[in-house]
Amino acid sequence: MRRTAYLTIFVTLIWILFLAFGAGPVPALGPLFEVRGGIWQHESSPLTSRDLPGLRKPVLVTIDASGVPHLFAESAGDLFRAQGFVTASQRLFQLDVNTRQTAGNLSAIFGPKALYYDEFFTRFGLRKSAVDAWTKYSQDPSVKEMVESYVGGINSWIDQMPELAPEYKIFGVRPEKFDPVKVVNMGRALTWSLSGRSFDLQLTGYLRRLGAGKTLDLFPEYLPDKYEDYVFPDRLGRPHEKENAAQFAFVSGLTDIPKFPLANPGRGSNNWVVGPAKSTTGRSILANDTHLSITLPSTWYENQLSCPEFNVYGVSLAAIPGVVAGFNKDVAWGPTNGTTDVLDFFEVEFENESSTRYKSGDGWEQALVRKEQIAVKGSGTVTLDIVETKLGPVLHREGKLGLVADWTGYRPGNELRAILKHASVKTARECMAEFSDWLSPIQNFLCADKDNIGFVHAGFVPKRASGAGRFITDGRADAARLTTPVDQVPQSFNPKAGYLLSANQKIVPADYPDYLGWDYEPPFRAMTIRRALNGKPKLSPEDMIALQNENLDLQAEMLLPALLRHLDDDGPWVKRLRDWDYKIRAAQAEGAVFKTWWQFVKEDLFADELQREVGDESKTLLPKDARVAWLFDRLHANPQDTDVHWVDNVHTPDHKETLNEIVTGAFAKALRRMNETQGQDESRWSWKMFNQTRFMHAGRLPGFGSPVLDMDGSSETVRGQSGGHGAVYKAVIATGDWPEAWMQVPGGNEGDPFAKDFGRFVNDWAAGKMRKVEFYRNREEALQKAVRVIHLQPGSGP
Amino acid sequence: MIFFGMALMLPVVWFLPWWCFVLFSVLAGALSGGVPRATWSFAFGAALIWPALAFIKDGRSAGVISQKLSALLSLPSPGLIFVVVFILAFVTAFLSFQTGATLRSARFHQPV
Repeated sequence: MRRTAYLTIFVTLIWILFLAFGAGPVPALGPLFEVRGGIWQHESSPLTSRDLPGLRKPVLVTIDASGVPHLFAESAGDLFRAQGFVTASQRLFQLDVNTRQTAGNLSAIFGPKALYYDEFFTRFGLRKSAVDAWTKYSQDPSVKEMVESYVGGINSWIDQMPELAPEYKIFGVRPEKFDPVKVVNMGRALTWSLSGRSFDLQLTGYLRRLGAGKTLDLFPEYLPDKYEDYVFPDRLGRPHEKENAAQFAFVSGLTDIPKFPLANPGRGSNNWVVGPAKSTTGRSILANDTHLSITLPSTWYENQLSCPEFNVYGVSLAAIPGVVAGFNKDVAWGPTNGTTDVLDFFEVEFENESSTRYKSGDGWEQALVRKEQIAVKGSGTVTLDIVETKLGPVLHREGKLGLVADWTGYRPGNELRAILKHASVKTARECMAEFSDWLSPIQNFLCADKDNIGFVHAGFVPKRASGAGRFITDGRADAARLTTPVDQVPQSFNPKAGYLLSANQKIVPADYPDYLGWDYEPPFRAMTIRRALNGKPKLSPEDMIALQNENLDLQAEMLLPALLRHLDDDGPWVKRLRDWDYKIRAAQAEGAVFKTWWQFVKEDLFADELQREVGDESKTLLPKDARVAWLFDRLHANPQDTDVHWVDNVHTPDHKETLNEIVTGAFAKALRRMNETQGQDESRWSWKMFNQTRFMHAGRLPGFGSPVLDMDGSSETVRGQSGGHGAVYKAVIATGDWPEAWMQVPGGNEGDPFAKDFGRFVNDWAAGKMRKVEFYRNREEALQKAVRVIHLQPGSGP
Repeated sequence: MIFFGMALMLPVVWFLPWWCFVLFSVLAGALSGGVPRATWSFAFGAALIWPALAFIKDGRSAGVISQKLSALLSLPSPGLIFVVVFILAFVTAFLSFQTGATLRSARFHQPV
């Protein structure tokens, strides 16, 4: 009897502890399901008129029919405080997660499963770089006021919020107070996601196996012009040294480098602008769609910010004050990712296997060693020893050798000042000039006023020693660090063509005096835009919107005829592909069959030499599409061209493969793959199921995102859409005496997953619809059109 | 006992933190004397209240909360989240009530 009693009490205690604290991935279910204050307790639209501590004068916030807030303040400081407050009221959890990523602080919310990322970002030095950046940013009083006011607004919301956001309840954590470094962390997070990509490590593996000649043949810096498109097409006639095998005599001895979570910026951002002579309005028109991971809530927060110094409309990054892309009365501006190579790796040599002294020139130098801590939910704290050389932090060691990263993102410019100043620029020239302090992430910014258009490749472009930047470089020489900028960043103003465009493609032709990079996105989107801009003497805003929705896939147009030429098959799919107009439509399967086929062709051509595991895209890379297109053209023109050796499979010495065999075999594999992934009923195959466009929740909560959407377009169409990447901001801005603009931010502004407006505009976005935005001249106009009005008053709180 | 459980837990679940559900179940168990049938009846009544009140609050958000929570837990239907809450509440009430009864029993059987 007594034993049963003890057992009952014991089991009850265990159960209560489980309810109170959760276990493993199961959250604390007691507080979560509590009716009074748990997940069931939910206030929609919690922002109401109230006191906002720190305000000097009242701030008016009107909400328009699209849920966009328009903020009117009597000083910039009050405006940014209100912006922080309003943004946090809708997006606090997202702000929190975004700013934790690069701080190496995700494990505090998500537990041990996030430790891999936290360890990497901490070793990589992003946490430290944010502290360094704030030290620099805060020297500018206007930037300091902007950030501190914004942070004050966020913290006021944390103090006043009537209840926790649902995500906090689910993860069983509470928000931490913000500080300026957290804001900078968000900037670092974006910088990392846009310019933290590098294939130097994989290319070094190829260099070791194939030698420099073959590696450069497959992965050249430049291809013939037919296969390229350049943002900055002007010919300077001052080419830098052409790559040659002799430059790459050094081959790193590091052979067991682990897989790092390097960034994958995806592809798809576009911007273009037509000047007055090419515009039906007689004034410049700018189009911009920025592509990032498609998440709910959206990366961007749409708002109008108005104070005596400026009146600006556009999108802000949740956790960063100001407007990053948008327009004011006089000027419109918008970015695409610059994609220039700004991340290099070095091999350093330590004195011995446990030493932190490394070779530098003729001597040995002591690395800095510091300790960093990572809090892990439910598992205490992990302490890391961070070893930092003059070249950068050590990411990996093999005996006496170490791998060091150097990244331009470590060097703060004054990006926040540029964001602040853009709000009040009056000409395209001024807009371009404000990017002089912008170091990272490297971006292609277009600026337009009524009469002028301009482009600047904004960011720190390092000047490298000959041959540096492509592979792991010898770090013993102490000469290669990314500290000196190139003499002149590419920029253009009112070009003869009457338009400017960028689509993450190559920036400059081969006769540019410096190496900028080789790993740009394929030229297909840029070529499609250029074709459209050249095809019409004048374009209207409606033409620009239509071009943003263009689903012609130039990759298919360029490559499919070449594939069909070498295909020994006459089945029904061959006819369908021959009749296809190269447009990617959600309900059709031609695009899916072509893309699958093309992937198998590339794998079957090169997997033998590159020792690539077929289907494993995470470990290695294949040559760019344009390079393979060149191979097909060369072999078509001359079957004995030197490229023919890539066709032969090195693992079958008794048989010499032909291009027809490769192409035909890959076609059969592609149809089999489609069969496996989409079923045997070919009438049900679709691009939609192949591409799987769906929005994930920012905290990766299952069921909080969107279903798979009916969405036209591929990563090679102007309407760029690739699985979890897409146009998270689309805008067409017609400059004029008073600008007109059309935008779409899929998901809208609402960040509360239980609110009715969460995920707003996703279906409109998928259908290619744009929304005319309301840009008010003054608060009276805003009040007339408001669906909700909020008065924020100076005071000490509710 | 079913109605007692429901009547007792209605204000507790609506107005108080979740652990009060445990506390009041223990107290109810201690007062009841631990008749086995009473335990089942009380736990059933108390457990009905929790999902019922959750359902009312869910209605204010047009069912979005139950829909998303069900998706989060990979449940095939949004309504099943209330079954999950019922089971949690039932186990909690049952164990807590039993514990109360056991404590009372131990108190009255102590040697003097």
